[in-house]
Amino acid sequence: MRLPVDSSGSPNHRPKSSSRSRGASQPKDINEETRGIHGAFQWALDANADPSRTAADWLAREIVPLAHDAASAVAGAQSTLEQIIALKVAFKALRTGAASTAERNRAARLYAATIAAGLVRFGVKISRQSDAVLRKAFQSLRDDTSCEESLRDLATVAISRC
Amino acid sequence: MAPSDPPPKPGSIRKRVDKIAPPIDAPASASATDWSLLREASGKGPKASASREAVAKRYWGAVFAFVRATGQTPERAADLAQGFFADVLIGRALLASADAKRGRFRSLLRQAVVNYVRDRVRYDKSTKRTPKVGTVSTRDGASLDGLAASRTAAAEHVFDAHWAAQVVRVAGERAERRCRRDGREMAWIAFQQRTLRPQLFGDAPVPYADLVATLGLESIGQAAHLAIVGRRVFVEELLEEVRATLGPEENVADELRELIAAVEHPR
Repeated sequence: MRLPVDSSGSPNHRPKSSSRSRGASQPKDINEETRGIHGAFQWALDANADPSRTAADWLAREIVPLAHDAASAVAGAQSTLEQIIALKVAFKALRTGAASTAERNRAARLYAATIAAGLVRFGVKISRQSDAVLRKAFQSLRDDTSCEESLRDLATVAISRC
Repeated sequence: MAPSDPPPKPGSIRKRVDKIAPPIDAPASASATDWSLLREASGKGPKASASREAVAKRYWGAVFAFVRATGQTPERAADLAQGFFADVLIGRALLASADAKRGRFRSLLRQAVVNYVRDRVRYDKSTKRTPKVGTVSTRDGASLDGLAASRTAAAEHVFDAHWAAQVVRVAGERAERRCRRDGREMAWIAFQQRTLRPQLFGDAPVPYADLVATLGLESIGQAAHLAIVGRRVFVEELLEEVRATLGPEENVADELRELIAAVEHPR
């Protein structure tokens, strides 16, 4: 992969008198060279601050670009049914390939929340799970105080619909 | 809840992936530059020589950019940068004295460059009346000795920006290599085409529908997850790169914020 930061010059050769020498070349404009790099460091800063939630939030913003985080993507009014289904698939995959137990638990809650959102907001069951299994998952989500209230509210309403 | 969606079919994934993104043929470059490499470079023998070369390769860009930003001509800047690596890194064994306990290697190297260039310019100025060979000049006639503090500060900022860019570049190389080694080529491709290239180069993100078709996936959710897997690998490598240049007492978040500041507000 080549990034837009091909530094000028080479440490292995002394420059020749010609300006065509790599070592003597004019550095590219620093604004151009560092364009967008701050975003990469911001990802690292986010991941360093809250590793268990960061991947889910990134995932949510990939699918619902205007969402602030995973909870707002699932519970927010802006998401379409198509996006909710995509979120469900993505969170399920994240649950399977989670980097930690905390991340796996977070992904599992969000997975359940997407199914709840399908039921509550669109009146569509987007899972092939039985009602009994879903109800149990929604109850767990509702009772998990580490989850956002918006997700727990979704679960509460969804319980009455399955 | 048990999975309800089928996993992606591997099919001829390898062939497809290699067509989209041929395997990199670059050797493992100076990607392991950290305190241990610096210690290695300060020793003797062929391994130390290779390590010194790796260190020089890695930091040449930042050093050269700093010198240029002080107002030196391109040729003069290259001379000074070359001299720095030869005289300070090797001659004065800066690497031997480089100790993680002393803090950030970025700060150590930057200060060493500032001191070296200042001393060289001062010396050259003192002998300018009777130069033995040629003349000493800067692009606009300025000398570092009499350089305004603001200009030196701006040059240091340029050094930091190039340093930051190099960290991202190396992290990207390592992440790509790791994804390929671990059979996560599709994750790398999804991340690169969907997120990394748009972020770094301003490219339009490849639509998820296109990624689904190209990679033979079943849904947008799968493609998004792959992109996040790739991003996570990249970020892990980036954090590792940054941590490797810090002392035990240094906070990685503080360093990240400084690097963000360096690239967000170039002078």
